[in-house]
Amino acid sequence: MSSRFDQSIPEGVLERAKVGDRAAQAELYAAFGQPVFGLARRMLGRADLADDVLQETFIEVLKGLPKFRGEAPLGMWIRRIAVNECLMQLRSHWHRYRIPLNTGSDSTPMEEWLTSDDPPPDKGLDVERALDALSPEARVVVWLHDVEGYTHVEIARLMHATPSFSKSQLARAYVRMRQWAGRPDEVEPCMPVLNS
Amino acid sequence: MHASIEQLIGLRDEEPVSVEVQQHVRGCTQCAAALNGLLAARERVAALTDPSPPGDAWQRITAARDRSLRRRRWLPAAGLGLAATAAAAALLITNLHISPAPTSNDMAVVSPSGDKPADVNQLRAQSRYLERAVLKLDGHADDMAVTASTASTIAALEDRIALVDYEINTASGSGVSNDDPHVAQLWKQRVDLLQSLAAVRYAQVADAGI
Repeated sequence: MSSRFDQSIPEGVLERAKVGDRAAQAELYAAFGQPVFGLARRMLGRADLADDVLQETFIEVLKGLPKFRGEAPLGMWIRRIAVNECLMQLRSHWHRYRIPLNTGSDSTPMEEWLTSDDPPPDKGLDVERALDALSPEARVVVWLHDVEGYTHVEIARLMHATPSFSKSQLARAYVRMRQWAGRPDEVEPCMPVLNS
Repeated sequence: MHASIEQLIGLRDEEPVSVEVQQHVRGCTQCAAALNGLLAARERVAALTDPSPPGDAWQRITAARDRSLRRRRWLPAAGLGLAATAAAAALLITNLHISPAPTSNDMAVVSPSGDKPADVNQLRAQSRYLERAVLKLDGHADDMAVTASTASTIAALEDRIALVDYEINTASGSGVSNDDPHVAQLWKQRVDLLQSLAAVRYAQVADAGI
């Protein structure tokens, strides 16, 4: 599975960035700024928090660059920092007090199209809203597993949980998303459960 | 008997799933359709494009990095970890002037240096820095006995921060610009409250002699 962090950097840029060349550092930002912001926006569900993560991630990147030995690809190293920053945001004492911004009346049309025969106006937007409507944990699992290619074991380690927790969050997310992002006949759950 | 959604996701992701389930899904139109739906849903999520970060983000990052480098020169070279955290918190508490929550008449938000209107981005950066300092101090204070009055003070400060967060979110959700003085006022309040919380936590840790 390819990652949005698989970005190629012109030769010499990394070495120049390591020794503090601002132009080279800006090139790294140009390559990885959007993937970091996108990852954070999807994981946290809010642009302002994603902006915070973007800033903290690149401050860490700039701080850590001189010690970066290249054992992992640069993009994967930056992604790991960004994921950790996102998880730190979610563990913040005050995160739980923050209200989701997308709970307003604009969710009504989604419910309307679910019960109508008309297709949704913009499926991309619907999926985005569906993701934002998930619990933070479920959103993190969906994004890390289904988009960034993390395994349940890796997610469990990051979230201080078990692989079963990760699997159940993913399943719950798709049950929930079925109501928001897909037509009811597209992802119909099969019940009762087969014993295996 | 049909497959569960977890089993279907397992099949979708080519994880080990019992032969019985695999055979069932192959022969069951309902389960096969659900599996296809899950495949399509994953594709739809993965197809979301990354939004662009704010245009001034890189400038803010380099400014914050420069500030961080300048601040580091003031910190003692020795005594990393808690000592550094405590020193940084104390330095901030000293430098940022703990002040009472501004009143409605006090709309001219003042920067930490007191000489010009505070920039919301700068206040947000201070807020982040203080929040991290508080979290680090919390980690050291978690196992300590705490007096009722200290616990009450901490709870009151956290409640006020939650209230300010709510107001910031409401303003942001209503499309109020970051340049609006009210937004800057709210961020200033958040910084003040975090300073107070850091001071309480620092005193708690210092009293315990850690």
